[in-house]
Amino acid sequence: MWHNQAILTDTEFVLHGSVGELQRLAAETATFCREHSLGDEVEFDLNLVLEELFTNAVSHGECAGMEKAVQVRLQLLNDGVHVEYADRGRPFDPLTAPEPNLDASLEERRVGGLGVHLVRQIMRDLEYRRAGDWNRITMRRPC
Amino acid sequence: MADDKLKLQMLDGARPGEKIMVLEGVLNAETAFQFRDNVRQGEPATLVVDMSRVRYVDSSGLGVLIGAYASFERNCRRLLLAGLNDRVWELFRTCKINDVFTRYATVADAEQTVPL
Repeated sequence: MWHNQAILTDTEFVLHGSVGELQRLAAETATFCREHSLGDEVEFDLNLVLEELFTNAVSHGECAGMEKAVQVRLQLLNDGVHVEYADRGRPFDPLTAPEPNLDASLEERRVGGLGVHLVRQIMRDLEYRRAGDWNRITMRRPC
Repeated sequence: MADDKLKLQMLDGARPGEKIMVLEGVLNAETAFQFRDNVRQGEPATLVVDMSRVRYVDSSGLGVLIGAYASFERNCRRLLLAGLNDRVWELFRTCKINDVFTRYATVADAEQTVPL
């Protein structure tokens, strides 16, 4: 997708801007994990992180209804699963988004911010850049 | 985690005013509103949510659980969670809502806290 070098352990897929695509996201992630004998925890985390970013782009990033709104690439290397996620939503850097106030009252906490918090807690080596119309995020899930 | 949908079943509990909601599937952005709408139906004094067959919860799922819990608290009712798997409970810890909810191993364990 973004590199010319073909790597046999890659999985790439494209999602349209609809929460109905969550099932396909989960299925693609499950297939990747199964093919690479990765455990349930890795699958859970990868699915969660991708789903949080995808849902955020659809619900808040103006990707709703957009064809081929999101690209995902998963690659297994020695130090874990490397993830490249990209969406055509409005610019959003999850690394600089404000931390949710986890000590706030329940009513305030449910407003949002937990998804990005989970992404930052679970993944390592998070990097963000805006490239043209795309938000591009790279990250790693150790395993 | 393919075939990600949520099945809900509402059962009568063993105690007066108690209902048990059995969930199966995932509680995520696609199914969270389905859960929320079902929770709003009826007004049991106590609702035990059996999550032993919930494989996966995301922040949208956490959000509706928090919202439901807060709504029950405001109305002096009780929302209890039973059968959460370890990974889902770890999300509760990461988001610091493990101090709000009590994690009951089984529905029977949760029911024991309901007054007769």
